[in-house]
Amino acid sequence: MDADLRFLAARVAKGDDAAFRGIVDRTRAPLYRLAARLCGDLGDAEDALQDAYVDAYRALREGRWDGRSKVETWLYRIVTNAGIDALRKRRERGEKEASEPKFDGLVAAEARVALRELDAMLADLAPQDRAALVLTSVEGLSSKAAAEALGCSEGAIEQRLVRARTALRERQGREEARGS
Amino acid sequence: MSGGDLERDLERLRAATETITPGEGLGDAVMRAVKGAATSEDPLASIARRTSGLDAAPEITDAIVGRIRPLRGAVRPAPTPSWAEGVGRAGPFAVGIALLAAAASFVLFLSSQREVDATIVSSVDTVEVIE
Repeated sequence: MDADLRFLAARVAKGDDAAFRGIVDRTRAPLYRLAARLCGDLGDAEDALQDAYVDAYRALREGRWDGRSKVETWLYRIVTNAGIDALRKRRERGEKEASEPKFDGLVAAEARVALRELDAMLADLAPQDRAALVLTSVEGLSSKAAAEALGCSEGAIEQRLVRARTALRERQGREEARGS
Repeated sequence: MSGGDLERDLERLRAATETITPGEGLGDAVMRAVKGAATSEDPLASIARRTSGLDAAPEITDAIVGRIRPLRGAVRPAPTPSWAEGVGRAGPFAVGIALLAAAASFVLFLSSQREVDATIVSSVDTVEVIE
């Protein structure tokens, strides 16, 4: 898989645009899942994923992929950044103008409900803290891999996780106090 | 709205919704949800499990390729590296390796010289003893 992707990435870098379709086809599913989990919304996830692939294409054509890191890891990082940007944009525009998903025909109802739960649970967290929690607790990455995806140190990831979990516990406490 | 109108509207809605039936996967989804609740699964782990099969429709690939099409002329292709850049990049490593090789040769030379000296001295000793 990685050798195929490296080969395709090298071809795109040399100007073979048709090879980019191969990269998208091979990496689409895990990256769509990542974007959806980060954004908690399928419309935003589609936008973030498309932006990320456009960035990746530009980077390949402009020679900004060093060829040493794994293509999957490199794309994972680009999608993570695009997901964080999407969360920031959503905060700025408010919830009123949510974009409608167009390519969600294969998404099961159970997954949609789970994404809504996730979005509601993490709504109050800062985008970077939310991303750290999603990468480690939902995507199952180690702190080291999450730090690589977010472009920060492992210590920074641990701090973000502590902040995120504290905020979630406080929120749960408030909800329980309101319920009793 | 009069009571008669309300009754008629409710009757219309009842008739229109009478044929609603769940999809085939509902029973399985309910059982998975019940199982998850019964085992008090961590909420984030439960969400991870329930979203593990997420995939977009294949048409998203066409949408992405469609978005990169207008960029083809706009992106600045990576410049082809010249041989001088290669020399500049690899030069320091080459000098380092050459220095290491020179040092190793010198150490080897010294040690063999010492061996030759020792051999000569021992041969001279032997000759003296014989004499």
